[in-house]
Amino acid sequence: MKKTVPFFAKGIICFLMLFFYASAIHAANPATIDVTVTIQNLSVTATGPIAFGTVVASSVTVSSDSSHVVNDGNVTETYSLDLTDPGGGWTGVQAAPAAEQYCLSAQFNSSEPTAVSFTYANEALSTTSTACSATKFAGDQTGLSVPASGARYLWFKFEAPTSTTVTTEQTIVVTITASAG
Amino acid sequence: MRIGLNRIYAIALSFLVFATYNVVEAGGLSTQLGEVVIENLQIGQAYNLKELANLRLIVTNTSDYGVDLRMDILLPDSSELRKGAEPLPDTTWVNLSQNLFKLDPDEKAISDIIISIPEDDQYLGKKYQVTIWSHTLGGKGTGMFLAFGLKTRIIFTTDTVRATKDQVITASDASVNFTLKPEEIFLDNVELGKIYDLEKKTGLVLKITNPSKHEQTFELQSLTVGNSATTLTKEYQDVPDASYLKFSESRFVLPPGSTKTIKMFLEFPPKKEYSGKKYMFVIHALTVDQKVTTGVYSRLYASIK
Repeated sequence: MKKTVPFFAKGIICFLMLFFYASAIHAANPATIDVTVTIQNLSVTATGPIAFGTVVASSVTVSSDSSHVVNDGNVTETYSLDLTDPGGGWTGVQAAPAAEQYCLSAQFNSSEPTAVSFTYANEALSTTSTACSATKFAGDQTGLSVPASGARYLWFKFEAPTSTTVTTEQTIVVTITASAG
Repeated sequence: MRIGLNRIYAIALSFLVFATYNVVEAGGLSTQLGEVVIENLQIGQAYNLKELANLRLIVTNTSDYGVDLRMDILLPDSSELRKGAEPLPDTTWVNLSQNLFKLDPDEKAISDIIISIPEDDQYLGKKYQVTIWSHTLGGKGTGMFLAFGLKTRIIFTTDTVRATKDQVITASDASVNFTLKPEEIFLDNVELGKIYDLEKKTGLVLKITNPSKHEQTFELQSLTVGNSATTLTKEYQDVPDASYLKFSESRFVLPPGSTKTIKMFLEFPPKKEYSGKKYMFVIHALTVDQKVTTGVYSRLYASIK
């Protein structure tokens, strides 16, 4: 014979289920909040601006001066590089530039690098921040895991637009960002 | 002829853009806040880190000149994620009390960091990471200029259970303004089976300073990286046993404004597999007996002979 559960008993069962469900959510006391700071004096210093002198359309110029980039924090840092296009109409590309385009490349090297040592794949800057590595922006120095007090020389290559109708002054900003590690 | 005309424009333009010689100056930024890890936050709560642990983002303009500085909240890409964290679901969870600044040389930008976690069970027991990018804008004059940025990594976990209303803590007297120095210790050519008194070997001792106006009890721990909230430094591996590093004292009370000096002793057992390895220890100084525990990490790097 099939047994039926009285209505009030069903209510008790439902109540108990809800009670245990709620208890499960609050099953244990919440843990203490822990705040931990890894002591890191992150700091980066670099010299600038970078002068290219006079450049002409379609020309390729390696800066005659470098930026002296120093990790003056107290922990190892890795740098990331990106650029901000000038507002006037030129666009940075990571290939041979066409009209209204330019390519700005960067390389860490102890002395002035040759123009051919810059490659589009590894040295061309873009508006996306790109972390330095053993190959990215690397000459005989890198921006990877630079120790505290470590100094690097950052050189730039500018490839001018093949032609342009822009007649206003252009300013390109390269941002060097340091992060721990 | 159009090409010729463009070329003339380009030549003239190029002169304007790049022939402007500027005085070479040094620019830069600095912050003490490279990485912060907060554990066991409650969903449905907003936490101002200043109220929780006296922690704010402070960035100093170390340039020779004035700068415009902006702080942006960024989601880390996969290569930046640490310790199994996932990117924050939405950057709006983190807010800054101020994100635009005009700074003179040596002037500081100071901002509160507020973390707000939505009231939703799907966020229980999670580990999230977010980046605050503090960076200068533009430069003086025209040509190619350098700007500077610093990335502060914030990692937080949410508690696996909900707190009742009276258990929720969003403010405390805790502070991470105590210091643990040095921040990094390097020890090369460590011989296996030999006990090193680091003060005798390197002249270094740990110094913990309590700059607050009240007495605080501290604990000092040696941790493996795996048992800490921080991450391995490149080229190093996690030490197999944190007990290889010992301290002259591991629990002590510091009166306001005082500094405690602690000696360190290192001993790697003579196991062949340790030869030629580079190991990282995490030294953790933390406050105890408080509603909110605050701690700072230093690191010791031992290169085995």
